Amino acid sequence: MRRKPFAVSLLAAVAILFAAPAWAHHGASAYDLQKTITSKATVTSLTWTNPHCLLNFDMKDENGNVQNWHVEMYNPLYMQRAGWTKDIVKAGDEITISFHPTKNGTPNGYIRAGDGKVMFNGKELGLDEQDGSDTPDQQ
Amino acid sequence: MRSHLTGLWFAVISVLALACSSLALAQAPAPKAVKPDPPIPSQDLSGIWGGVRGGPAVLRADKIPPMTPAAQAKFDENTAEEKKGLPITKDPAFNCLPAGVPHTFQNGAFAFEIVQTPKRIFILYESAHNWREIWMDGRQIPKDGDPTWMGYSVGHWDGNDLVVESGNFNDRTWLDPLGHPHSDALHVTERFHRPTYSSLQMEFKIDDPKSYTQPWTMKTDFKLRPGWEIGESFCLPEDSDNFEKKILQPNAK
Repeated sequence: MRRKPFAVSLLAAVAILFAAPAWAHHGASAYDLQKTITSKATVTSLTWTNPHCLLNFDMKDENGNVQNWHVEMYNPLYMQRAGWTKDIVKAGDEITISFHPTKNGTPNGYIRAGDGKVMFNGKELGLDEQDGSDTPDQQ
Repeated sequence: MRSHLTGLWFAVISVLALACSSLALAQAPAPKAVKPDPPIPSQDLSGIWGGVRGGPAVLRADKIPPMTPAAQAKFDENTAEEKKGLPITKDPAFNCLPAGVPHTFQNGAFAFEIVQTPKRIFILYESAHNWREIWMDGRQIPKDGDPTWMGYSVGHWDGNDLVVESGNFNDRTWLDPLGHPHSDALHVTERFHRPTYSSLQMEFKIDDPKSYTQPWTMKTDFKLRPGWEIGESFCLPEDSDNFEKKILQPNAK
């Protein structure tokens, strides 16, 4: 039996609590914050530039057709503080990702702390900034 | 006599019960140790401040008063894309121009550092490696000074709050990423309030009679991040352009 690789789930209203109306440089109005796609995917590249890092990956749609997706994340400094590096995933790596797609159906989306998730090699790649070493103030 | 003995036994049993319960409390697992917050330093905001819950700071406004016709026309133009269901791409800060005040506090998910010297306070913004200088020597904002992107800022302490008055802005920045415009008459009063050692509450009073029919206030919060270093983050037009073409408006011509 062929396993359905593509699962779309509606999020509970609580997810909306995390949705800042303008969470970064630009508004999030193009994204469907009430819809989350959770799927296995194959990384094609990680774009490590401002204004937002992009996780690019191939993912099968409901009909089994592969499409290349671009999911925006936070800026590189933020992602570093969340534990990422520019080489943390490479082309060919298998991941499982939960993200919000666009409303208009283009293969783009965005992932954020709170309700987004990236699993790689059995571990979750965090999306929350960490405090870092507990060193005293630099002054 | 019997009643006296009964009273004595009652007292002994009570003391023993109390002792046992105290012992039980003492042996109960200690509550999870919480690192005590150091005392709030006096008139000192030095340090690196970042987003509160692993996300960018968001400038919040309870109520925005009606705009003047000129400002409303600018706002409609700034947000025209959003009305078509598209993300806003016209934000000057998104296009690598200086973000201005208070927008610079919400120019992406970036941290900033406050550095205090006897007569000046510097705010070093990680975003675009931008910075501001706040004069603390009692001077006034120069009258008829040249318009600037980040304004001319003078400050004073109100108790433990830092109050900063800024003017001499140009009209080329937005107040926030939502498209709220301002004119060259903009005057911003910032209040930096530190309710605990690790938290910073900020208020921005927007006074711009050419754009808004009355003053209004925006707010945001930050958290002290002593383990961080300010990073380098420049805005490159080609990166913003690529992002716009690939992500924001892939179907646009």
